[in-house]
Amino acid sequence: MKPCAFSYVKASSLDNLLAILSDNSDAKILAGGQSLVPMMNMRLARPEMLIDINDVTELRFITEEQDHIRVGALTRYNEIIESDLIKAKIPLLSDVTEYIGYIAIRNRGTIGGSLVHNDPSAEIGVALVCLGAEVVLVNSDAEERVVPLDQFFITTYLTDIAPDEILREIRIPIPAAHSGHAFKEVSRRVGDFAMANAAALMQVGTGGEITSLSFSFGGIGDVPMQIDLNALVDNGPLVEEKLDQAVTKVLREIDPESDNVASGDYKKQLAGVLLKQVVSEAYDRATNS
Amino acid sequence: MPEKPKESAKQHPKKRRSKFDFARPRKEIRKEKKRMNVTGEYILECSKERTWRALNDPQVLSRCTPGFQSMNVVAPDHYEGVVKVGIGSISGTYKGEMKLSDKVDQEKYTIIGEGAGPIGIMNVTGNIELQELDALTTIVYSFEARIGGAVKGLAQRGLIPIAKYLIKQFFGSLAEELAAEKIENRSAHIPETST
Amino acid sequence: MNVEANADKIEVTVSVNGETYRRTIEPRMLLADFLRIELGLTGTHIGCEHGKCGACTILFDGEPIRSCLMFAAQIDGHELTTIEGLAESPEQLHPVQQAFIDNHALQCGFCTPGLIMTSHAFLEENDNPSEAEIRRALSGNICRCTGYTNIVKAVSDAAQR
Repeated sequence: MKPCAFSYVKASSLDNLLAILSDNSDAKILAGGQSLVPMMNMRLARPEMLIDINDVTELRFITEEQDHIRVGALTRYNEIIESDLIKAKIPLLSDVTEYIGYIAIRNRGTIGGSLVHNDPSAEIGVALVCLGAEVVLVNSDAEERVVPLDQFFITTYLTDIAPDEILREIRIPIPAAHSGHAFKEVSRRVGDFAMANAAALMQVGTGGEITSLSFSFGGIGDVPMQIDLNALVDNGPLVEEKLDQAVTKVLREIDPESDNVASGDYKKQLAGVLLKQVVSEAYDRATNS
Repeated sequence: MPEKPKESAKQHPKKRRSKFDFARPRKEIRKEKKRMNVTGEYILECSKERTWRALNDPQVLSRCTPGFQSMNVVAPDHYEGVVKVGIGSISGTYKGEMKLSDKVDQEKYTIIGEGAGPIGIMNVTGNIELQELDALTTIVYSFEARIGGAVKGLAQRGLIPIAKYLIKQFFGSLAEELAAEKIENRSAHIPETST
Repeated sequence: MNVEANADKIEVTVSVNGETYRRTIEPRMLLADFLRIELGLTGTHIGCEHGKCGACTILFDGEPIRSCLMFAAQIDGHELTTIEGLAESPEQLHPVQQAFIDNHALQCGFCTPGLIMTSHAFLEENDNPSEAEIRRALSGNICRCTGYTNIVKAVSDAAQR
């Protein structure tokens, strides 16, 4: 099908964008369009007005601050993949972005767009929840609001963004040196919506014991969710039994819904396998770095 | 050209033999509605009696429905209304009707509802049951929805979580209403101090 | 404050395959439809309209993108390359196109323009790819006819040319 008719306006700068938004809070922002336009083509989304922000270059940046990296919301996935800064400081993010869709999608899709769309297994969302990122929202009165990502995600396809707000940037804490990270995804074909995916970030002490561990699942809950694996922290070196115990505990706590990608039972099975594989890989990386 | 049913299907033409029954004509597959089940419970700090009264009051139900636009009462326990629901970029105005039936006073009733909008149509049947313990009432709900139309395909991933979220919003509003009512009643009954 | 939204037609000026075109179109016209209907460049095909099949892939400022996921209104001032723009002349096809023909990498041809544009952009970046790299790069294009073997061979072959 073709999209319904709408008004189109191109924002020339951030101020211009906020001005347009203050008069038209029903309008939808058009960034990469890789999630929005398919919905418009199917007439599931019928915005009356689209504000094209692809010329708002102030929203495309990757800069390093003292303890975190700021990524502008309009930064395209391929820019993240090609960023040496991110590869060096937050390799988990670089790795994860390679799994997103295909080359053509990565050339247009934006990190801000993915977060506001909030698909349950969005790779970027899963990695950023694992990294403890926060988002900076700004409204048409230029008031800023900083929200931790796990609070920003309310439920599938719904975030805490207000109609007159835009997502301006994402702040990602830089992991400590010698951290180990891992990300794994299971999907039918390369680039499909993941049935389930998992990201882990950990630090390992000199004795081989895990000193900190952050882990998140995608495709299991209704949004990317953080999982408590504190049982593995400060508990001696990682051995298979401890990992199996952690898996059993987590499988009791999660309850994935079936959807058109995979059944709930299968997702549960995948969750157990992914947890084990991703935590082991992150551990190997951390101990060998 | 419609496909001829296979030999073994002749006896039960409508019955699906297996999940991989590719011989079914496309039209039939497209018309089939997706089934969705949502169950759960919500605990209210309120007596069963007041909860029951609120759940049968069309004005209260309208006020608590997320996205409520307008409503008219066709007959007792039979309402028609317009609701505007927007999740993310998918939003639509839906016309629907709802019937409450099989009422067991103070205990439970059945809801049968139908809604249609630009992105799909939905038939819902559900049960609401009240259980009281101390001063708390637990509302146990279970709905089965059959969805047809455009939403069935792409938005499938979101349907159940979004339904749960909207139901939670409904009960949240209901809880606020009942709490406000309680305060009103209390302040109306402040005993006069005797001189 | 220059804020004028148009539900009515918008004028766009775009350079496609080296030629400049100026047209007035509705905002909701997809880029793929713009190329096919307004400019008559029907080499770009529309398969799924939601970004999965890759038949609509063209080059936007040199990068492969899905033309079914972009509106014609967005291309004002940009440069597009479609399949029609690859060959020097009907006698002198682009090496990727020739490799596809020589290796029998197309049957019905519906996916072929998208594949050629993707391969062309890929080979510009990686001129000696391994088979795994080729398969990964082409993962965003679906073909129902060939089974991909000859396509991969064709891209390998084109890399040598």
